[in-house]
Amino acid sequence: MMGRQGAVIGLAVIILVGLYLFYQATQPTYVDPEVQINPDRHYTLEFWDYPLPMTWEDGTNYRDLVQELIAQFEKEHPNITINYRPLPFAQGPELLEQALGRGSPPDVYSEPFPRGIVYHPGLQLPITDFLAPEELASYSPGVLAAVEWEGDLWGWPAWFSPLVWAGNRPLLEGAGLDVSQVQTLGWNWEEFLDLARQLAAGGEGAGIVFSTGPGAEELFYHLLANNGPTSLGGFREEGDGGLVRLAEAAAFTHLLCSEGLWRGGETDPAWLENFWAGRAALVGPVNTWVIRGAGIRALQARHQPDLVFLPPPHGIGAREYSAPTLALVRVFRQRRFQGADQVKAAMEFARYFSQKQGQAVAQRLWSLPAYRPGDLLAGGEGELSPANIRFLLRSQDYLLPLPRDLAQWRQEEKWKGEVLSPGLEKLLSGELTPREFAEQVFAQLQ
Amino acid sequence: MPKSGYQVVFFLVLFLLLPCITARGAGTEPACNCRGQPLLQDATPPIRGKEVLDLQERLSQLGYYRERADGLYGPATVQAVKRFQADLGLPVTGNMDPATWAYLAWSEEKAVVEQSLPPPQGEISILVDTDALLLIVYADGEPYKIYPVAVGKWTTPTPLGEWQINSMSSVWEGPFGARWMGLSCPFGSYGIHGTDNPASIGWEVSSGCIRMYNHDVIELFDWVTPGTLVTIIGSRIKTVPIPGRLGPGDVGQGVVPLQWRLRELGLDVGRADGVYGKATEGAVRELQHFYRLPASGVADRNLLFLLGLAEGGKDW
Repeated sequence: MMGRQGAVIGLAVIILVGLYLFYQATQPTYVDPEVQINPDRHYTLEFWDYPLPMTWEDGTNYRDLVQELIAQFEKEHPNITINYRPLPFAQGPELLEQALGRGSPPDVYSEPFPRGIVYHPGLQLPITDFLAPEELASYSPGVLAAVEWEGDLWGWPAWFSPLVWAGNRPLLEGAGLDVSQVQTLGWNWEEFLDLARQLAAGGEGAGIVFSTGPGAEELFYHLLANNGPTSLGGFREEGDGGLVRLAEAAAFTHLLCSEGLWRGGETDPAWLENFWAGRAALVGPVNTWVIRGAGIRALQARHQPDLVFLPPPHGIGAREYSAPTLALVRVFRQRRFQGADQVKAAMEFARYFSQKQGQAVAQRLWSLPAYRPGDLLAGGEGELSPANIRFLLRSQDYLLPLPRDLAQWRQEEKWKGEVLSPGLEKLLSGELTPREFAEQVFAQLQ
Repeated sequence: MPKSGYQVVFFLVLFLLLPCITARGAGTEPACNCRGQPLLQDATPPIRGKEVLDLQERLSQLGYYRERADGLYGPATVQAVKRFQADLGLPVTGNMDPATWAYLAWSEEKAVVEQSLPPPQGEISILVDTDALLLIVYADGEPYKIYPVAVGKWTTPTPLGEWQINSMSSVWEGPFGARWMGLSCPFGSYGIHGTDNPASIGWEVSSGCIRMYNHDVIELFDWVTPGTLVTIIGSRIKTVPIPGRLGPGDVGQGVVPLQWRLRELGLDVGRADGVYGKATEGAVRELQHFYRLPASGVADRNLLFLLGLAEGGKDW
């Protein structure tokens, strides 16, 4: 008798525990934004972030900034403690994926180089309902669009910066380029090619320097993204139209190489120095902070060339896109749900950190804070010309969208490495014609 | 005593002193390039020079030399040296040998010895400022005591960087004075030591070592242990030659500015020890990730330019 009762009780306990675990695991990602932080509860938030290698005039560096922001937040929220974990760039993304796999990601995750919009549909929380309407207006629509998926926003944008082509105005104008027009209206590959030919004819060393590292796929991918679809997957989905676009990009690349305007894959070991010494007319594609990092000394010494930022050239009939660096601050819940009020606390910190950090680093990076209430200045004020700042502001309208998720990012990376790279090697060595290259790549994308 | 008797005594003393001059404590570094004071002796013709002039002035300060300093190691100088040796209980040879030089230094310092501080508590570290010619002892990050030092000449500079004490010796050796503390610098043999020429303290005169007054180095010696961090700084960092490319395995003074600049940016390079090891390579990779440059771990010309360390873009 007792044995049967024991079995029933045991079964009931197992069912109850199972139901509880099921409940925990199926808590919706939606959390009521009206939920309040419980003043009687102490919250501990795990916060992961990548220390940006940068310093300020007073000798402080990025880690000091983060510690200061955390201290300020904790002062304003005495019942919230932030556990800060700085991540190395090389291993950080994998550490996050492992944590997601275990169901225990950090509450708040800040990253400068996102790989996609949604990392984990069950554990990553949209921020949409936590954005106040008046706050929403202070974010650029282009930036918000870059983190939107299925009607939700999947992270707090902190700052962003377009990939640019940086030029020396006198050299470019000397070669006949209407710099102001390119800055405002963009330019296509034919105009770019004309410039490259003019510069090459003008003598050794004053031409275009391609900043991409070993392997030609990065530059090609950049050019490809400016010829219609913005991803290899997009070309595949376009069918024959995609094939034509791919062949056009290949033909353009081939032309650059065959005329000696680009030595595929080779990088000038001193391109930054050459640029700032006025020996290179145009370098790209580059991040704004590389140009600033290398040039700030020249700027301070007032020996700077007349620096101009230009958008990436695009294919005929295509619009320009710039692969942005879009720093995001994401909020996660853990598989073992810790309550809506914990999420609220994490959202509050993510909002605070993204807005403050974005503003603090923008000037050092010549980037734009994503949150710009009122007349908040863009990065580069006092260091960049008004035309370049206008260009940076305009760039938010042509940001290349982020991959939808990690799976899409992985697929694109795989295609780049396994399809584009070997194909380009054959194209640049003359083993394949642009058409053959496009057909071969296109077939492998299927 | 006949002249041959003096010679016997001289060689006997020399024989007895030889172990002290050549022997080094267990685990000490190979000798650095610091040279001791020259052997001055009664000779025909008499030795003449600045060293003799300095000696005469020093003996004069101590009351042993009463003539006009003329830079000539003649009878008056020999007599003064003999008086000094006799007072100190040294073999009376009239020659300025290593032991006599050392005792001369010791005698000079006795006049300026200040009251010793109690040993500092907590973690001890040392900062040597080659511009200010000072050695500062820190206890748990707080300055505890400051000493005047002599550092390397422009042609034989003191190595800048972060070293550790890796050998210690309390054997009195001629140019090293009362104590020797070797540094872990991988591109030369350098140390902190006493001196047989206290007048050199406060000048850039050594072959790269850090010289201290003997009473100071004796005090410091008791406060440190092998492993104590010794940071050496100076404006000379601006002129350190940096190769156009630095990579794993490189060792030298040129690596230190790179390590310091990386750390300034908040990157972890470990100790700025002049060795392009794993930590430096990792920090360079981090920087390359940030700049979206190929993460090779090698500091090439572009990266050095970005850091303000390349020729043409150097701002240190």
